[in-house]
Amino acid sequence: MRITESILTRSFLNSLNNTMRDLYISSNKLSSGKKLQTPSDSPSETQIICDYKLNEKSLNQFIKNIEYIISRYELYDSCIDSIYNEIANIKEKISRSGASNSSEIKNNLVEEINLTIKNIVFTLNRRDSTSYIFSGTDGLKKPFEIVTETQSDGSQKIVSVEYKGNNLKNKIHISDNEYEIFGFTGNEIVNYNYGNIFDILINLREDLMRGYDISVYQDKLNEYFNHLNKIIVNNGSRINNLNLKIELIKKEILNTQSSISDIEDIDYSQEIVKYTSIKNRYEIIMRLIENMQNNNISNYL
Amino acid sequence: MFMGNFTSLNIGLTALRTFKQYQEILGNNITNVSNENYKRREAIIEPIRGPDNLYGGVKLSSIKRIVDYFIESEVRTSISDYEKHKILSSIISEVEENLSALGEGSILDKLTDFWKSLEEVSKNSQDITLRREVVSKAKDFTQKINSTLNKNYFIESKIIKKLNVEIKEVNNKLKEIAELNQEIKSAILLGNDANSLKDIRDSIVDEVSKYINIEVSEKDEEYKLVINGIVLVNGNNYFSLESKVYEENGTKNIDFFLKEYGVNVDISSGKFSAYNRALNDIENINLKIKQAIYFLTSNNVNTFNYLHKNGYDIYGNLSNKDFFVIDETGGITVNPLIEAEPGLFAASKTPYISDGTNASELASFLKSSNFNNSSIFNFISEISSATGYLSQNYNNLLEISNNIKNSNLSKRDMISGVSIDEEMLKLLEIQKYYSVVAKYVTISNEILEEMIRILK
Repeated sequence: MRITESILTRSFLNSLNNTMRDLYISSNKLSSGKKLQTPSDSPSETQIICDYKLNEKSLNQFIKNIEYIISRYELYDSCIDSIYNEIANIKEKISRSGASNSSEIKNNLVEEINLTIKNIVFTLNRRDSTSYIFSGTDGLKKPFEIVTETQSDGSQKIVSVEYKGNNLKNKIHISDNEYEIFGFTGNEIVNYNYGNIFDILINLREDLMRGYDISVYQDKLNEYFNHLNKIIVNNGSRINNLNLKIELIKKEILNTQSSISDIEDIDYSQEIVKYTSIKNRYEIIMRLIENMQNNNISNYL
Repeated sequence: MFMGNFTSLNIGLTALRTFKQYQEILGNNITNVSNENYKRREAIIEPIRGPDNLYGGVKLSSIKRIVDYFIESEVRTSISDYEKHKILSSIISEVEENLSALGEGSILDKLTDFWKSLEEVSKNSQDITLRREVVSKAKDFTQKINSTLNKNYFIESKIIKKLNVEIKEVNNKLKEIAELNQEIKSAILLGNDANSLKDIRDSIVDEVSKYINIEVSEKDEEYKLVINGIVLVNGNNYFSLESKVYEENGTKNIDFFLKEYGVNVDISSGKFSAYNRALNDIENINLKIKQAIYFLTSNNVNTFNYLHKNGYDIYGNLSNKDFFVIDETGGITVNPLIEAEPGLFAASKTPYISDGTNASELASFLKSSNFNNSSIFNFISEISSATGYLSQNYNNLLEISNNIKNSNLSKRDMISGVSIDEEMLKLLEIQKYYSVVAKYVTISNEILEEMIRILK
């Protein structure tokens, strides 16, 4: 076999090129910390990484959605709490005034009931940054409106409270195939098995003004407490479930990130060893080239 | 007697002249050691018949150019294959980079951002800022799709421009080969050395084999360049190549044919075949991107646009508008009406402003398996990984073909290449012979002079 200078040169050039390419790939991996630079480095792993990354971003979005739902439940809770306090206040006053026949006390109680109705309406007409929270999906519409009648003395008397919102609810993704149909419409808050709380308060006021026995309202108001309590308990349990869901999603995100890292990230110590060995290979080739330059017959002659 | 002594001087003279020529040939070999296109020469020496078939000395009968035609053919085939895969690997890597599946800002990233904006608006559909975000993210996504397609079209146009330039270069080279054939023929007829011309011709043929797969035939002393049975050069005649790009079944193809006769030429290797293949590959990738565009812009039942059309805008009106539309360039874009007024985005399923269920369903639609049994997300990531497989395949083939080419070039060098050590040893050998013959001439001369002196 004849070995010519060109064969040696080509062989060294080829080895040098391959070594330079390996050095480039290895240094890229070291500087980026990533095993895969382009899909062609590993097309199947590229697809897996794309799936994982999409999953990670989706899960983060679902956490944002759930956190939003929780914050809305908390907002509902604070509103319901305030309604609860209003009713509790009026209930206590009724119970205290039950024994009294004083018209002044009764008049004060009537005023208190009117104020309570107004306060509850005010609470139920609460808005978040963009819409009314108790109007179903009709967020631009103020959900509750007080209907009054002008009296002979010119004063305004509350005769009813009307609900202007709708009974629809929004649905929000909490996972790829799971929705949370959430929120409370005004009707859900004010209607319970004795009817509408506003009607009951108005009837209470009327009965009080007429001097009727109002003890029957104690039960009705107690039942409304139960109704509100149920909502608060359900809210609490829903918030707990959603918090649990967030924890599960966070775990899933950690698993996904670890799977991405397993595929995508380099083992630095391993890569440094590899880089050093390629560098050594490069130096050996350079020495060989130097030797080849010196070892030829014309140098001996 | 005298005649005999003059003959011995003459024998010495022929030997000195022959070794001088031999030395020149070795010198020529050594000086061309780094010339890749040079084929090693060997001096063919034969004895000269003297008077009465007796000794006449030695002469250089010919200078042999060392070539193995089988290896030459193998080298050219491997050059064609290597160039083909080099071009394919570089073009598909560019397409792969263009898709940037692993980098930030990929189509998939943009689609995910759009999906996230739909999820956000589903919570607060009355929020105009969030609606603007939906439109903006959708625009980012469509612009990325369009720019990917446009970059691919640009790569295609670069291929076609390059082909048009290179086909002229190849035709010029074919012409040069035909002219060289004529010069070589004339040189041989005049009894001159045509080896250098043959070296030049071989190097041009090697150059041509980078573009097309050619075979060389030298039957009946007529030099021919043939490609899959079609003659491109026949002696001093050559036939120009011409190309035509055409579209068939949505894919671009290049037809090659002889300009003069219109005969189709089947090019299976070399750069030109790579251009044809690359156009096909890019068109297949474009086709998939266009399928995704069609999927999003279609307004058939159960499509993104269908869901949008049947939703309600911020004003409580039934939308009846496509969200994605095809623009005048054939790309995908957000409906200009919605772009101008994000309130027209149909986030609601009912005519109520806080109802974001349509946005939620639109988000869900993007993730569900309603497009070729996969989601649009999977479909797009499959485009990237399919391009990755293609690029990986071409990179592997490039490495293999590079190794084969280098191995064949080494085989060629083993036969036709110059080894300095070998030439130097031969030079030493010739130097030795030359000194011996010079001594022989001196002795012959001394004998002759002595004889003349005796006769005086």
